[in-house]
Amino acid sequence: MDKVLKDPRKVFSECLLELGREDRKIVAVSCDSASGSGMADFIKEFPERYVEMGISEQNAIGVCAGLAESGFIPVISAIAPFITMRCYEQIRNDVGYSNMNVKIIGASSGLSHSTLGSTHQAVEDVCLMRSIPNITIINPGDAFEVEMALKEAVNYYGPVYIRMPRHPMEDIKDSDARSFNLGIAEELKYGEDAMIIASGTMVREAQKASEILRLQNINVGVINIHTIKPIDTKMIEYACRNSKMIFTVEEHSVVGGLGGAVAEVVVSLENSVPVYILGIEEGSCNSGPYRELLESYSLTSEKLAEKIYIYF
Amino acid sequence: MPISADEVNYLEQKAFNIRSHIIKTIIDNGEGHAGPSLSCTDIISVLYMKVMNIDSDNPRWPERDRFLLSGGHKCLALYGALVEKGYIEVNILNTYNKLGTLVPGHPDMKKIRGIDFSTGSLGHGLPLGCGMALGAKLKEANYKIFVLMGDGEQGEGSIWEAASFASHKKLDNLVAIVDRNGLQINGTTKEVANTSPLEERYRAFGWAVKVIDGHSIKEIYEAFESAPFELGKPTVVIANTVKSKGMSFAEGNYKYHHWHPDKKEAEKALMELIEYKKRWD
Repeated sequence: MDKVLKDPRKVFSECLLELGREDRKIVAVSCDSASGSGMADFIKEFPERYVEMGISEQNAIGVCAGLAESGFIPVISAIAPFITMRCYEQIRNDVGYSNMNVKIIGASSGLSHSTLGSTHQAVEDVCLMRSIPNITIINPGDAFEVEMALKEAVNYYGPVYIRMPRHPMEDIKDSDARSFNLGIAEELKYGEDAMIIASGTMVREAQKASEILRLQNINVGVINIHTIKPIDTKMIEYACRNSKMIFTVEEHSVVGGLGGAVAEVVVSLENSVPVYILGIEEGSCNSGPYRELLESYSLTSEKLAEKIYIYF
Repeated sequence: MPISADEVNYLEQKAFNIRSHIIKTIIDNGEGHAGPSLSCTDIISVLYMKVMNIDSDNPRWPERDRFLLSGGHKCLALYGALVEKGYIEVNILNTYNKLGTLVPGHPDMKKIRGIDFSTGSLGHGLPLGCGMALGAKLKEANYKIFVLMGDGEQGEGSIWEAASFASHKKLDNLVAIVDRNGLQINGTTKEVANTSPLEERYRAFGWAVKVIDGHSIKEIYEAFESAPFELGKPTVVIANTVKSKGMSFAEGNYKYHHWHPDKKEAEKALMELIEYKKRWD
C-alpha cells in the first residue's frame, strides 16, 4: 500500500479540470474560495464557466439551483460550515426538495481548520445534509476516493454533498485493488470480534487501530462507508450477522452522522448487535494543531484502539 | 408597441377571472392568502396573458420565459393564471387545502409542470432568478426571468445578496417586481420593519428602477415591454398596489393577509364579483 501522503485538493483540482474538458455543462462556483478549493486550474482554462459569488452563501446556492434548472451542472465549493449551515434552507428547498443537479463541495470539512476554532470546523454538516431529501452524501477516505467521488457525483443526476478533506492522506488500499461504487460500502478487513465502520479521514485511522488491537489478539475488522447517504444497509446487516459488535468512527459529531445512520439501520434488524458511536461529543469546541485536535477527541488510531480495547 | 384598448379590456377581464378564482377558492375551502394574492393579480395577469413567451402545451420548453413567485403564499393568483392560460383545469382548485392536492398553499414544481420553481420561504426567488438569468446568458439564450416579490419580503438579507450579484453580473434579462402593497402580516411595512426607500436602495445596488401603479394594466404592460430599462442592468418594477384589491371591505387591511371568511364576508365578496362582472355582460 502506498504510504505516500497525497494532497486531496490537488487531486480534486486535476479531476475537476478533466471533467470540465469532457462536459461543457459543468460550471465551477466559488464563494471567494476558488484557489483554496482547488478550482484554480479549471478557472484558468474555462474562465467563462466560472462563477464567483463572493461571500454570499445563500445567494450562491440559489444561483446554483437556477443554473441547474437551466441545464448546467454547478459544482460549488466553499468552506464546509458556511456552505452547509448559512444556506441550509436554500439547500433544503431549492436543491433538495426541488431535486436540482447541484454538487456541493464542503471544503476543509470536519476539523480541517483545526486552529481556527468552532466557527470554521464542520462537525454537524453530515447530520444536517442527511435530513434533506434527495441528497447523496459522499465522505471520501483518500485521494482515490476524492477523485471518484467527484466523478461519480458529476455523472449522477441529483444533488450531491461531498465532504472534502484538506490535509494530505495515505491511501487506504493498494492502487491495483481499487474500486468505487456510489452507495456501496467496502469491507477492507474482516473481524469476528468487532467491526469498525468508518468514513472519510477515519478509515485509515480505523485500519491502523485494527492493527494495534491485533497485537492484543482482538480481531477487529474495518468497513469503509464512503457514501453515507444512501447508506449501504446490506453491508451493515452483514456486519451485524458476522461480528459481535460495531464501532462507528467519524470526524463529526456523534449526533446524526455516520453513527446515527448506521444505528438507524441496526435497530431495525432482528439480530442486532451493540453499536458504539465514536466521534466528537456534542458541544465540543477546541482548536489546535490538526493531529493534536484529533487526538483530543480520541480520533487517532492509538486513541481509537484504546477506546475499543475497553470493551474487551 | 403600445397596448390597445381592446387588449387592456381583455387583460382586465382575465385579471377579474383570476380574482374570482382566488376568492371562490378561499370561500369554498375555508382559508387562504387573500390579501397578497389579490394585490398582485393584475401583474400576474399581464405577465401570463400577454408578456411572457410561454406555451401551455409545452410547459418546460427550454427557451420559455420563467416566472418565480418568490412570495409563494400568493399562489392562488398564480393558480388562477394557470387556469386562465390553460395549464390546469379549474376544478383542481376545488382540492385546495385538501390532502394530496396539486395546488397546495405554496406552489410546487413537482405537482404542476407550469410552475417554474417551488417557492414558499421568502427571499429565495431572486437568487434563483439570478441563477436562471445567468444560465440564459451562458447559453446565449434570449429568454427573460420575472421574479415577483413582496415589499415586506424585502427584509430578507438573501434578496440583497442577489441584488448585488445581479448588477455585478449585468443580468439585464432579469426583471424583478416588488408588489408594494405596504402591508405585511403584523401591520404596515413602515411600522413592522421599514424597507423604504426601495427605489433608492435598488438604484444604489446598480439596478434600473421604475415605479408604477400595479393595478393599471397599461402601466404594467409598458413597464414589462420596455425591460430592460437600461442595457447591462437588472430591472426592477416597483408596483404600488392595494392589498386585497377587488374585495372592498378588505382593501388596505392587513388583517386579510390570510383570510378565514365567515358567511357574511363570503356573501359580500361574491356579490361584489357579480357586480363587477357586469362590465363584460
